[in-house]
Amino acid sequence: MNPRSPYVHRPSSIHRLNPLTKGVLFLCTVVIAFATSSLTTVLALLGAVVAASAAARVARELARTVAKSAFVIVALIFIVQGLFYPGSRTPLYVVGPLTIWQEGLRFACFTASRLLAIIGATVLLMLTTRPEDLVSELMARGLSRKLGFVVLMTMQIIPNMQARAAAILDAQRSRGLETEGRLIQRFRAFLPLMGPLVVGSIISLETRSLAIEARGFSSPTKRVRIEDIPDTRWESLVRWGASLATFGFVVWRLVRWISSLIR
Amino acid sequence: MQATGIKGTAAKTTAAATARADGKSETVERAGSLDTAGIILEDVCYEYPGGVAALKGISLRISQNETVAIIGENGAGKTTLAKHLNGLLKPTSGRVFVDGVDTRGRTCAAMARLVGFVFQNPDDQLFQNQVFKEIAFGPRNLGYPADKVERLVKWAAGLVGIEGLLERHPFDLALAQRKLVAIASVVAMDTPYVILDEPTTGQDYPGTQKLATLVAKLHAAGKTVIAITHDMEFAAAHFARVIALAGGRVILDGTPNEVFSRPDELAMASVEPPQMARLGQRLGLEECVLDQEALLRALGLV
Repeated sequence: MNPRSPYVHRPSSIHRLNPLTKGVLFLCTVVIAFATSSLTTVLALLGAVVAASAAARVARELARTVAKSAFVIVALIFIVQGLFYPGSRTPLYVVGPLTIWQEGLRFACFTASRLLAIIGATVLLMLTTRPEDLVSELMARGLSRKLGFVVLMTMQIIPNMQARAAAILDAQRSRGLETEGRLIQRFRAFLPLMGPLVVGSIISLETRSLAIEARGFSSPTKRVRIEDIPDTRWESLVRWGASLATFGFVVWRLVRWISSLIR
Repeated sequence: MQATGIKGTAAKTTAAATARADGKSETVERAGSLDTAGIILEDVCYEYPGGVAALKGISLRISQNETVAIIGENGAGKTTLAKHLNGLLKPTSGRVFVDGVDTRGRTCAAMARLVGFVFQNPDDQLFQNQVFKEIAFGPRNLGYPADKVERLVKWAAGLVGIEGLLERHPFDLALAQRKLVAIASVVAMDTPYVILDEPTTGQDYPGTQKLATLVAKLHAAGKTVIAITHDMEFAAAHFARVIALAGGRVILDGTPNEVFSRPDELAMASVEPPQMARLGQRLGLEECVLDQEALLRALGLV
């Protein structure tokens, strides 16, 4: 298991869902959030994410992670759109030389909710699903082993590199490299950091691939799975239903868009 | 601090304020007066951001020119303790002074003038395309002129026995050699205190002997050498003082003879005394013997 994955183990029905079901629902959420232009739909998605996180007992973790990753950008959206949204006509407040526009705020509400729904769905998926399980389920359904390995490695490499970067930074600071303070100083600290980081990552990647090859990674025999991940008929129904509904929604949006162009 | 251990005999060491290694080493500049000289830890506690309490009240004094081995099982707090000595970590509570300088007020880079720290994994440290440049990186950071840098590089390479590798690319070398390069690159900064984190890991016998010689030469040059090690033979043979940590506390502190004659406390630290000490204990010897000569003497065979 990867100790650095944000996965939080809780006894909940959401956790017990087949990873593929969660993956499909996540993708549907993202697609709908992008395809829609209605605030109500986006808020409904956001509500669904929050409700699902409560059912999974990870509402607090979700709130904390989303707040940490989205706070600055949401604040920026409100400031920029509220003040400078093109075509604004209805002033809401006037503070000195600045005018906050109603249209801008409405657009900011929509964009921020859409962003929060997407980030929330992503975080919820990560909190309730082990990446190993998701990839293993995909591989059982025909994803190539090499691609599965690449996906898993990519998910692990960023926290791995962060930990290594911290160790390298410590080693170079101990040799008198000033890494705190002015920008130019921090920039000068960059090179001694990058060298070991890149070389070390290549070396560890090579070692890792040799190690998994030594355990028969590319052996052509048929695989069995250590752990069977349960799947039920109704989950399969949910997946198909959600996929079809999302597909239908996108088609409907396209038709409306094209007909509006024609008219 | 709970002092179940033996009181350290550290104070006997007198400061060799301006000692030189065969006249080749640079003068060691000592900032502190007599009562502030050395490394002083006052009830140091440290808790990692995740909430793990790694150090639980450590009070220590390491005098100038001491050689100290820090032992204890993985997770006992050895590396965390060492990282406090050069300001990489600042205590959650308590204080650390190096020659009278409080580490809380200094960046790690500023402390690097006083305390050199060699990391366990050389690959976290090496980045230049030539061993010479690698070793020169530290002294250059300290702002020394080119001729002094070159002198220091040759001196440090000589001390760890890698003079022949100066032109090579660090990543063409074997791990044990890279480790020696990493050690030389910190020794070259000519700091009065040198910390080695598990220097003997992966070294063969000649490599370990090189490190033993290094410790002796640094000591002769008036420096304080602190090593974290799992190699009890190395600790017993080449260090005048051994500190055993367990669960973030000091449980033993004394000469190798004093420390390794306490099997019960050592078991608390999950540490086995050197082989000869265990043999001596099994033979029922009163005194603690650490090497073959001492064992033979104790048995009256020489």
